[in-house]
Amino acid sequence: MAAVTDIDAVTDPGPAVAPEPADVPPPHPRAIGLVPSASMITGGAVGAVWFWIPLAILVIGISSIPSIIGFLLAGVVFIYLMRGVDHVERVRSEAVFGMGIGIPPRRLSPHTGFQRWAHQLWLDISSVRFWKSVAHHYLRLTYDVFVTGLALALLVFAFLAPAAAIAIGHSDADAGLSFVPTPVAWLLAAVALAAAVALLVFAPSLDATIDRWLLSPSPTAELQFQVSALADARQGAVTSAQTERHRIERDLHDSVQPRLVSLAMTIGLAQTKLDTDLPTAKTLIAEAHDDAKSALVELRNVVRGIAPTILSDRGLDAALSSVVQRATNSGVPTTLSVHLPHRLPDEVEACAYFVVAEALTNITRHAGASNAAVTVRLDEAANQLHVTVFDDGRGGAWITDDENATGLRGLDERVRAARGTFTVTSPVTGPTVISAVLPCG
Amino acid sequence: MRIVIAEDSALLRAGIERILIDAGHEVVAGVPDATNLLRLVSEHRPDLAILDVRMPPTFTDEGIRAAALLRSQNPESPVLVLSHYVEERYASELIASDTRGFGYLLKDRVADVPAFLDAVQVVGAGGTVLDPEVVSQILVRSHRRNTLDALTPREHEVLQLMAEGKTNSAIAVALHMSVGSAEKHIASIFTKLNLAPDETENRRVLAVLRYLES
Repeated sequence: MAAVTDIDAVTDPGPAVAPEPADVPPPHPRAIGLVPSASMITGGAVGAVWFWIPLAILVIGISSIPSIIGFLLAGVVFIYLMRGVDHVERVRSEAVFGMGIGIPPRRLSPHTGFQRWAHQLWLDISSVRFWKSVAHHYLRLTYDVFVTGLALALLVFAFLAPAAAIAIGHSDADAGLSFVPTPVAWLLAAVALAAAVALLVFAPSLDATIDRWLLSPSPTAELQFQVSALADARQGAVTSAQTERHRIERDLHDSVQPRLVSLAMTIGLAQTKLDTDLPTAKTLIAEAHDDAKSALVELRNVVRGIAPTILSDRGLDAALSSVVQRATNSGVPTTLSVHLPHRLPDEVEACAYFVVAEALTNITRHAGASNAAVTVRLDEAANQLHVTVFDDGRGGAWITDDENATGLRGLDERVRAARGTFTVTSPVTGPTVISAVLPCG
Repeated sequence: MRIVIAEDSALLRAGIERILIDAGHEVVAGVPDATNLLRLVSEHRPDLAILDVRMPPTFTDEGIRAAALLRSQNPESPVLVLSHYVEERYASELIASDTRGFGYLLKDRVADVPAFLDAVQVVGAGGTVLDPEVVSQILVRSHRRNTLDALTPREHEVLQLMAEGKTNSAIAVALHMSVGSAEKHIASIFTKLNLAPDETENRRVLAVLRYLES
């Protein structure tokens, strides 16, 4: 099964997740200046010590392969360190260069508990993003240490060369010491000083290049992420269509069919009584009449959950009235509050409608609730539709694979198919809040 | 009463015709879609037009659009809309300016023959009949509830029955109260909805409108 993709990366419209197109290199306004130089020197100083620590852990881990536990432990520590490093590097790069480098998508494990933890570690170390980030860190540190060291050496030379030349010039000729003449030494010192300053000023721009090269999402990774997101959505669509067919079949079988059978039987019975027992026949016909009307109501309820025409011709707002009223009629007084300034794409409206209809059906069947509330609100800034269904019932609802338990699995699939997120909060004491956030564009 | 029917299912059209003819009405025309309805209505000048909502060619809201057109062109011509599903939004659209001579019912209601024939009478005589489902759909809309918060639960029930086109005595029977106390409730509703006694418009209609649009 495909892993759930990084939700934030999909839904957050902020600039951080909209990677710059690869063919338009972003400007680097602060590649030269005090801050980049300070950052590079800090990198060089920190790198000289820090460089060895994760590397040592990795080496220890690999060398202790015969002891599985040692290897795993070192591996886990290394991954955690590198996750932190990745974060720190991105924050640093943004603070220093401000190039708006996008955060590459990260696949998230769909499991729960320990399995999630382990699977997430695996997803991380098998991702290009992780190793690019590691490579970036080491390349940058190596470069910083090298450049800072070189600059330091040049500075030391610039101070020592004239001193040495003067000292040697004044020393005893018999000592056999020789150095360049003093003026040349001054010249060399000036050149070394200029070189050190130039290095400190201009070298950080290569830092910026390294950042842009290794921290930004590659076009391939972008595509891979989109493919896995689409595969995930497609899987959700296929499964939810399947689940829905089963549900319709089951609902018709459980509700309408028995009514019609009973209706036919009652009329058959009435027919046999017509000539002999008119009062009984009348009673039976009255019963059959009731059966027929109940069958109509149940058929309407089944069909209601699928795709009402009002949804396409008047929109979500108008369509929700009857769904919510049906829950009220089934014994759970429900209120509806809608904030929708305009119509939404068809698939978003259909998905939101399905979520409300299915959640309310669940509530009337399983929750034992005395009240429910439906809220539908369009967040115009983020262009997301928030659908929330609250009930004060017994709680303890969660997404299970058991087809007969609740329809929450189906809802989850349907919402994922619409590239949205679906959450259920349902402590065993109640209340239950089901919420879906659907992207509208 | 002379009646025109637009209903695409031949089976249902025949059934409704049979019920109406049985009750002594005259069905002057029965058509499977709404395209010729306007012409038929201006031609036959019926006392009532009965329309299905979903009809050819698109099977969405043809009946609603035809009813709106009919009511805008012949305001005095009563319309009874039947549908497998009722939607408060359709009702609000059709009722926006005038509740007179308008009915909107679930098709299921036809199965209760006497009640259906009552509704036909009420609408044909210029009254209003709304399916109870429409009314309760309106009630779930939280922003619409607020404006009616001043009403007691009993007054809510009375107003709901008014919206369904019931007379004072029918409301009294339905709620097991005397006609006098039903009238008292109605008067109280008028007061709470700020419908002054000197309104020239029918206060009953205005109360129902307020109820639907609040």
